[in-house]
Amino acid sequence: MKILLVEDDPQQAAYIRKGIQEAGHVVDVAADGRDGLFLATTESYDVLVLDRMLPRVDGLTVLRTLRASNVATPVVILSALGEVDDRVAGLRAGGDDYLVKPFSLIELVARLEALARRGVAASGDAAPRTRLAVADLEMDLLRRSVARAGRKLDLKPKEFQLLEFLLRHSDQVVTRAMLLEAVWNYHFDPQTNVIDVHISNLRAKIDLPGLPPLIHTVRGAGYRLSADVA
Amino acid sequence: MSRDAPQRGLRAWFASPFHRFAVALPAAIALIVGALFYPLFLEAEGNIRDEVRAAITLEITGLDEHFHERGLKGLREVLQRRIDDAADRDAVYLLTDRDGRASVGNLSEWPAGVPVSDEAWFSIREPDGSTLEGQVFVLFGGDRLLVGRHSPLESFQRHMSMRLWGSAVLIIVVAAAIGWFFMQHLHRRLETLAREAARIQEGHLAQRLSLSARDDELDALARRFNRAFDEIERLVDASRHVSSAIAHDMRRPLISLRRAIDEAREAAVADAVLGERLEGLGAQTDALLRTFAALLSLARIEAGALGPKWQAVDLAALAADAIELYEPLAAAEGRELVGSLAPATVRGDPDLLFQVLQNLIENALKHGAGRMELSVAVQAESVVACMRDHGPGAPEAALPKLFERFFRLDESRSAPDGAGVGLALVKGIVEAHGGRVVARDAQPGLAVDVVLPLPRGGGGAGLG
Repeated sequence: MKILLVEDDPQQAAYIRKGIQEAGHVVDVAADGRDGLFLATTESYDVLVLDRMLPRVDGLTVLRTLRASNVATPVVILSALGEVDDRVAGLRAGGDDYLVKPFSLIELVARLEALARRGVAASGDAAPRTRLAVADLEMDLLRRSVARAGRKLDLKPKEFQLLEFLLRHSDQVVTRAMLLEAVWNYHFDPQTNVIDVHISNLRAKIDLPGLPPLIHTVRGAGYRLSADVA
Repeated sequence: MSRDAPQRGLRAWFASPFHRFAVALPAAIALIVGALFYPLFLEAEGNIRDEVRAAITLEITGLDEHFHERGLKGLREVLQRRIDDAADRDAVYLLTDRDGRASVGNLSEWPAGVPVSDEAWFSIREPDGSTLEGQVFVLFGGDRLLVGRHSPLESFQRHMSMRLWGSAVLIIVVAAAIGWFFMQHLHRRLETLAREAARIQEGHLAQRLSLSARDDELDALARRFNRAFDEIERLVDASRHVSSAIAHDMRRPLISLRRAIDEAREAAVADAVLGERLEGLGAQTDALLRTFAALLSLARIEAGALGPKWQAVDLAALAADAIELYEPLAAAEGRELVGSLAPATVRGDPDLLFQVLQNLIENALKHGAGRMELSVAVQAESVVACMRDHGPGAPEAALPKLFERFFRLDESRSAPDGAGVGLALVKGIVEAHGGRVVARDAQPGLAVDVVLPLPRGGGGAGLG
């Protein structure tokens, strides 16, 4: 995966670059909005990471210019705490995700990977998926039913949404904040293990005794739904 | 360049509104007085001229009668008598033959500049500066008669202009003096205010602008500024408090983090142990970051930097979401979380209001005990959300302090993640929404009320 990072603070940029490289991706760094715009339009990237406050051309202007010139590459906007945290303005300008500093690298990488895959899915088949499956776990989105190894499972609505999100991001790390945003539509970092309890309730229904577990806890990061134990 | 200097000095002098006022006021008064009195002066001048001519005409009429009755001889006698009587010092007579040789008169010769033509009026200036007005008659036989008067016009003019200039000078002097006195007074007050403001600038934030006993416009302005300074002092105090509280509160976790790092570095530990230790370090760091983040967003909310994201929000729906989110966690800890929710619409930021409810629940989970009840109801003019638990509660004196940053009922207890900021954040967000928070003893347990105003123009209550 090839990622463009537009960040003017060299220390931050080096830190983020290192984090993304360690996750196995290629990173280009631009130090201001003009260079970022130039690279984003001339090279091909899977995801852009764009700081809101940039010298010369600010982040939202870069984003608007890209979208106006039909560059559809997914964009994660970074905003520093203390600036007016206007998620709506960022998303309206064409952003796909929005992270407020300080964030953890795991959180950023998880979101980048989720976005990159969405980009691929969108450019591939356009038909909406009606069935999701990992190993012997199947979800029918039309009937809103879930089955494990052929056995129908009885899930609460929120548990269904949680599982749907995990299935759509199978084999990826999904953070607690991502789950809170996707399922509850509130934007903040959950301070306690409030999400964990929901996951463990879901896990109790999915990972039935005698079957290989599918929901894995990734320490210090979040969860991953996968057939492989890693 | 050097030639500009005095001009700049003068310009600078005139730049002061006081100086401009001190010059403009007397000038304006002098101008008004001049404009009022100059026409009066002209009118008086005309009246005097008319009067002099009337007196001359009267005199001529008398002389004419004598001339008709007794001829030139009679005229001479009358003239001589009048001159000898000297009853009228201003009167001037001169009778000459056709060649201008004087026969009778108090003038030695025909004055220069007086035309020799019948019934001609003249007005000449005499060598001593006074004015002579009169009329000339050419009699039968060519004799000439001049009847005139020394006009008081000149002395009137002299007197009047002296008085006018005198009063102008007086007006200017008096107005300048009053202006100067007044300006000095204003100047002194402004200088006092400037001095006091400079002290504030130097960092004496408790300094205030002094007020006079008069309660005038300057006092109103000073009071305005004082209110602004009160607010600044409050904000600065608050941020000082926050920074010292952060410094104080971050010390302990940072020190223990430092110690844990040293321990983790120690040689010869198994990989698994090292991993566990690093995990712990990560968790501690995350907790610190969260506390920081909470403090920063609290500061932002208190600074009034709320985004324009307000909308109509059903607090009951938010509460239902919050209960649904926390219910499993409460159950896992053996607690019960129940709601009693009536639809209640408020205006605000849904993310922030959700954080209010979330913090209330977390506070009750961490610090309370027993059953937790979250209720939302419309009461009179407001929407009240109440979080109540059945734990030991808090002593009466500590209730208002619960909303202070880093306040802990038990000082010896160390801070869990984000501790001490939750209820302060609740208070900050609620106050930013125009509401208030109250903590009270629910006997048993602690109840925290969040009171938000009903949006204007419609109640939020519907059918439950």
